[in-house]
Amino acid sequence: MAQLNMAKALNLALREALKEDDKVILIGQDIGQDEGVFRITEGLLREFGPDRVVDFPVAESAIVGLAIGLCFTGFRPVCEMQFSGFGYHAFHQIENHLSRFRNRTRGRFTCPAVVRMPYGGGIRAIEHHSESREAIWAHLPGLKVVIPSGPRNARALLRASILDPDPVIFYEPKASYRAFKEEVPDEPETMDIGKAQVVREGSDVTIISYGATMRPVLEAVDELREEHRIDPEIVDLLSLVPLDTETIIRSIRKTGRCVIAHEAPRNCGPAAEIIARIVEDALMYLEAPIRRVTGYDVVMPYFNLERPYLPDARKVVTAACEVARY
Amino acid sequence: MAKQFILPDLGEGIHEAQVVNVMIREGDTVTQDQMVMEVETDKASVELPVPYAGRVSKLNVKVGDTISVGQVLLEVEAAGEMATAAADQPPGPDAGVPATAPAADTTAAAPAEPPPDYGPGPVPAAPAVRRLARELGVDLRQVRGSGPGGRILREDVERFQAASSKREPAPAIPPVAAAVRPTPATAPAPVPVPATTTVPVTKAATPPPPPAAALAAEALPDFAQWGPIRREKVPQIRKTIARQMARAWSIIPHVTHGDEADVTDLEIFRKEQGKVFAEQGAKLTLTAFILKAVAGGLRQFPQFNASYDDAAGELIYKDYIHLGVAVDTPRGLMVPVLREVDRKGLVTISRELKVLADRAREFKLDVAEMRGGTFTITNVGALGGQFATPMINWPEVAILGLGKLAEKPMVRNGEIVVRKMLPLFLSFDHRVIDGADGARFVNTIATFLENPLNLLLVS
Repeated sequence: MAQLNMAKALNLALREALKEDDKVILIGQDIGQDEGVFRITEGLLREFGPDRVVDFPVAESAIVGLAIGLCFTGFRPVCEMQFSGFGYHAFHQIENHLSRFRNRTRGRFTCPAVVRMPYGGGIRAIEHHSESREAIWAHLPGLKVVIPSGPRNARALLRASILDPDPVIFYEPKASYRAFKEEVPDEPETMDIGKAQVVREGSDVTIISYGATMRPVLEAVDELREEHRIDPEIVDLLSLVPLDTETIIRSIRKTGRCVIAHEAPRNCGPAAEIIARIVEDALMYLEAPIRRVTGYDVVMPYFNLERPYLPDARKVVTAACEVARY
Repeated sequence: MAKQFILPDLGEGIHEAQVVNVMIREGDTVTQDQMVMEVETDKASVELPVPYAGRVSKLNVKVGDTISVGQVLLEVEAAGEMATAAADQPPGPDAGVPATAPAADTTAAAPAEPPPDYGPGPVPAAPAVRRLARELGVDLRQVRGSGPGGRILREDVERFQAASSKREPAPAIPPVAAAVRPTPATAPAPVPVPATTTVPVTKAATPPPPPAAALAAEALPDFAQWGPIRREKVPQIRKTIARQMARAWSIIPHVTHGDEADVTDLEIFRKEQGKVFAEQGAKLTLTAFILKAVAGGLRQFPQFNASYDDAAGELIYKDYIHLGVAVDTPRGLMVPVLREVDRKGLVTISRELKVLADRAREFKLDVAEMRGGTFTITNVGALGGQFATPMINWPEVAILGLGKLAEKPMVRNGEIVVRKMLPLFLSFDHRVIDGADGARFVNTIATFLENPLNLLLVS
């Protein structure tokens, strides 16, 4: 096994997909010759050539539009939006076409495409480069929304997304690209899309999160246990669509208390959907109201204010204590 | 508006306490930090200082009451001040967390006895508590809440149900069927709701069937039907012991291995050295030797100094050796813990042992002094006994019991001689330790007691 960071793990998944299936094709800006602004596509042009790794002009809607057409001729395109904030140029293609073709043509034409987007703040970038808008994509029927949290699950989930017969929005937490390393098996592995992972079992409160926010959540565990005698159960969603309601409900029935943490803004954010499902299926197991630890309902601020914006271990501890002591 | 004095978090995961002394009355004037009551928690006694100065406008507890963390004990009106109504909660949310304030900060203290008039609106209780009430057939409107803001807690419902199963006809509970909404098709296993929840209560009543939620004891018969009886409230410490013993017994498969150690030579040494010790202000007891021998044994058999994490499938080895020593006190069994026994000499151990035992008997032990043990020793020998099956102090994995030290005829080299024999009986957790290791451990302890110099060889 190798110790890889997420960037290298994603690179590995792309390399494996390109090698195994001639029909896999990467399309994005600066992904070939410049090897990607985050170097996720490092070395791929050299290894697979310009027919497989396509440097595209600054035209996101065309990237996705082209991908849709390629799907109809048997390709499996993996598109890259250089930053999730640029993805809205492709919104029309994604919402009105990519997500609908299977339905529209009753299954005659399908779109086995992946649209990769680096998301989230924490790297002190300029405007439009730090968004978390997964809720928007999750709301569109016909799409899967997958959000890895670490190198190993990133590689497995990207592989699974490419193999998936339907369109997947693959939201990559850019702040986690090089933040830490993990053992990643040499042999290709996949994970089922739509299965959450109970990262830590506990009995007092369920803390649900995904993506880059998993790190502050896990940092909060020690303080919760040692200083507050609270034993948290931690759930990593790994995908918003499909959402693993069963795992969530099982955990809530066990603990009766819940904190949900995400970087995306609070209003109509993913936590709201999760709470709705908990209220639908496990209301009578709740011992306390549910608390959300989220970004604020403002645009990600610049540089020095980025830190207070983002959910951190301190905020998670506070919310968990409040809920545990209700 | 008066300030509420809420029972603060007493630490160590303790949720409730019993009031053993109340030093003030309603109407008294108190100063800040004045001691106003004494409560008995999980094996220790704590005095509570009131955080506010002023006149006690409401006193909600009396001696004998069981109170919960977060419960309003009394209210203080500061002279001429408009105090805020905010409840004195443990660490509040950061300014940065956009959380809504908990509902608990609009309150009047819950009245002492009958249930409050909840009016036509909903009764304050969390959904899980509502479910429990429904399963037990308890009408929430009849229950007084002891939680923040008069909220009804689990314990309130459980206590109400236990009390009402003895009473003469309990109030009929309105059928719940009308209020039940059809559960959505997507819901997994819907919570079972009885069609009617009227509880038929007569003098020799059978209480409602046990709920799905894990609840306490099964129903007892009405003993009064066979003769006179008398009920006595047990002290908090007894309730704690009951809970912990039941838990240890149900979680741990106990096996006990018994043997004897020949302590004749040790006793000679002890009596000789006793005089030296007395000069250093310590009494050299056999227990101190036992502790040292056990510490030596634990170094060689670290699995006896561990805890078992069933869920993770892991054995947690501890690098420290803190020994609990069971002490019989007038109020019940207490187990103060001596720390780092492997690093202390006999004099220190003897001294500390005496201090802890005295404090245990005077009921002055801190809760902290009874936590963190890795292994326990219990000595009933003074009262007698050849063998017993001591209960393991979960989450430890073993406990050593000592019987009565007595002279016995033993065979040595084909001859009968009189030796001083000390019975040892070790209960251990058979999930973690097999019989062979149990025997080896006891043999090692016995060897140390028979040849104390062997202890010098332990690293």
